[in-house]
Amino acid sequence: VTRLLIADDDTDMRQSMQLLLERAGYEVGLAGDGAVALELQRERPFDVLITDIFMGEADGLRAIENFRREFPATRIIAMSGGSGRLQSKGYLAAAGVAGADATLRKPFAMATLLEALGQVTNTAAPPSQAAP
Amino acid sequence: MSSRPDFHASDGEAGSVIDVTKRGQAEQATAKLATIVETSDDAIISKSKRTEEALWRSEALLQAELADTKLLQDISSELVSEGDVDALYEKIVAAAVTIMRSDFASMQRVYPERGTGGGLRLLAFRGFNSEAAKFWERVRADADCTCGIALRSGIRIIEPDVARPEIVTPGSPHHSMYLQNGIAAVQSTPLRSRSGELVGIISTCWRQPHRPSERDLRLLDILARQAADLIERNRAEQALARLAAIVETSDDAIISKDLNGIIITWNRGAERLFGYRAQETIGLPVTILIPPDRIDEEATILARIRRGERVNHYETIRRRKDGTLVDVSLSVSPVADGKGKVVGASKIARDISERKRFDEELRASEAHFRTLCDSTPALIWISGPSGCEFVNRSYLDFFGASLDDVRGSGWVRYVHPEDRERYVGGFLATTVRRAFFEGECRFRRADGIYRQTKTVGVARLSPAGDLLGYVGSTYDITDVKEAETVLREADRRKDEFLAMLSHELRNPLAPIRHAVTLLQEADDGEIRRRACAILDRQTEHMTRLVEDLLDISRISRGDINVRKQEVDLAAVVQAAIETSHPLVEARAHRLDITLPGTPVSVFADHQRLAQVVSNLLNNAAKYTPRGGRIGLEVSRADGAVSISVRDNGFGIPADELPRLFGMFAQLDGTRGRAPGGLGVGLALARQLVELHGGTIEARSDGPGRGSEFTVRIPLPGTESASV
Repeated sequence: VTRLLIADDDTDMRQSMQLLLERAGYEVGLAGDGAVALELQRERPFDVLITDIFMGEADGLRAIENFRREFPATRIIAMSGGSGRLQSKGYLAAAGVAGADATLRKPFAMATLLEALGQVTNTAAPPSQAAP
Repeated sequence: MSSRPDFHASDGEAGSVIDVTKRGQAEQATAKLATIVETSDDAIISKSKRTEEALWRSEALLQAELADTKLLQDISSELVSEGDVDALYEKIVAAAVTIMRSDFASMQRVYPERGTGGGLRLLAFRGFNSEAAKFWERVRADADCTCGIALRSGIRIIEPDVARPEIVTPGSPHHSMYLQNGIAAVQSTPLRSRSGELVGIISTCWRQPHRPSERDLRLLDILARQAADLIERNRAEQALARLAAIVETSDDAIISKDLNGIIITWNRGAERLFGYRAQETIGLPVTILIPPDRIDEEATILARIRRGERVNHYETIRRRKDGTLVDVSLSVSPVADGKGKVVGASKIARDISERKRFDEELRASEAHFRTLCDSTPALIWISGPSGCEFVNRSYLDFFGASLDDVRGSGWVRYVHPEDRERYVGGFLATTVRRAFFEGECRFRRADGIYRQTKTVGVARLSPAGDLLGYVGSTYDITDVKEAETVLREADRRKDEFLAMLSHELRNPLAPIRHAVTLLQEADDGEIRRRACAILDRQTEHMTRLVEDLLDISRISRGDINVRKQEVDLAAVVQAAIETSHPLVEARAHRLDITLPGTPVSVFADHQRLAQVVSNLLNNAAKYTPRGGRIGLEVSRADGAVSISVRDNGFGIPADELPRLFGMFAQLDGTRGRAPGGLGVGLALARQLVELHGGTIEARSDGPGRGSEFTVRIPLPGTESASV
């Protein structure tokens, strides 16, 4: 079973995604911020990290960098609805640069997320080339 | 040439006239001769024949001398009676020919009459042809001829044999001219005025070598004296005529008066200025021109004149014949007789009413300019070739400087050192192109504060197009700049707010969408229940956002109302806690509530006051790390009730405190704060508190040290006793 880790500081966002993804057959772990996500990953690595970029500040970008460095094999999907300072587009591009394999703009349909998941899990890049 | 007078020809009227005078003189001469003969030791008898001859000769000489003397006397009397000066010159030249028994004669006067470097000008001549006359028309003072040498030396020059000259240089142009004209001998005698001044030359020439006798020269000297008198008289007359012309044509009134102030002369200028004809005023006292209130002036002026003093450019007022007054400038000088005794005064009166009016207009124009210049808040300056020349009062006041401080390049010292090179250099470069100048720099004001200024200047050109300098004005634009900054900042925050608003409004949509998907697809009761809870929370959250948005709009329109009534503060606090509870619980904070022992009532809008407290609780919950502590305390003090919300959260940097209650204020860089909110909670809280006549303040010991917000609502005077 593919294991997914959802990092988002909005409880309802985490819960709604968890319910949907479990129904789709994934095993789902939840984290409220980047630090918790990294702790959970170290305990027992997940296959895919789905992280918000704005958790308080741009915490998600740091999380992406940390995962890329420490867990190069883990696929990463970044999602954002933008922030007060910058439009989501800019941050999603930044996430791509930081090492995200896919980016999603909130709000997104479940089908979009599943499609992205399918892509990143089927086209796993060699770990050596995944580093930024 | 006229021949020697024939002493035998004593017929005719002229002869008989001569006879009368001649006889007496001849008798005397004869008697004299007889005495000589009688007293002689020589043998008279043997010499009788010679004596007779001598007698005959002396008789002839006597006759000639008598004729010459008569000629000189005639000229003397004609000098007095004859008005035609040129005719007299002719007569003098003719007499010179007669006296000197010469073939030619000329008379020249010195020009210019005073000064050096002049020469001689021909007045009359005899014997010369027109070509020679033209040659001698003007003779330079350095000319190498007898007249030129006589002029230079001041003595008579005689050249008895021109072919073998003793004084004149042989072969010189003048010497050649003598020879060409058949002149074999020449003499030139200076003409001296009674004061001894050399005024001309009289010359005579002969066709044969000739040395004039002493007797001829003596007679010539008498003629020369008369000729000099004539030249001098002519000169004086011309000078007088010139003076008279000057006086008559002068625009100024020129009047002379005696020491009693009686008018003696009155020129045309005086007629024009005062309106009286000369014949109306001569003989009248000059006081007819003086207005009654100035009548004393005349006594003062006359007193000074009697002392021999001048009165120069004395500005006063005089009265015209028609009674109108005129502004005049008077110059009065004493007039002395030949012995130096003051006998009267000459007075020059100039009409200065035009100048006075011009002065007055100039003064008025200057006053207008100065008023205009000094009453404007702009700093006005005028520059010239050597820098600043003039500034207005605002300029001096702004810098607390004197004109000397800013003159030239003195003003540069007030430019901020960092701006100096750019600003001053820019100005100078512009002046070279004579272009319009526009520049900004910081100027140090009198209080030492640098102010942002803007300066504009235009070239000042002369009518001929030459650059005279610049004129410009400088404005303090610090306030404008600051307002601009404030506006830009407000604009930036508005943009940020809009970006944030779209973000905050979109955020709930993601979980809502997912919950809807779950409801559509899941049959599981538990999943459906949880999806509904998500929808419930997120729509509630969105409702709050939209409510806040509406409140923002109400605040900006000043259209927020409170419906005050007596409310129990404990109930208000309870309502606020209920609203904020989900967030406080979600962040796992501990909330401590302290209420006074007895119930407290305030006159307030229950819902709005609860909103204020709830906003403070939400803030505390958001800006405190999970698991923090929040304390809510209500107390009474000094006729007011205070509600304070304290937390042990992120705290507030000191520099953020002032703008905390502004619209869209959200603390940046706080990791771990709860998301959401439009940043209007505190702005709204303050607005609502103020509508209740209260105050709100924030306090924090700094980042990481927590914060405390305190609201004070005054208790109504009537209620403070009952509660």
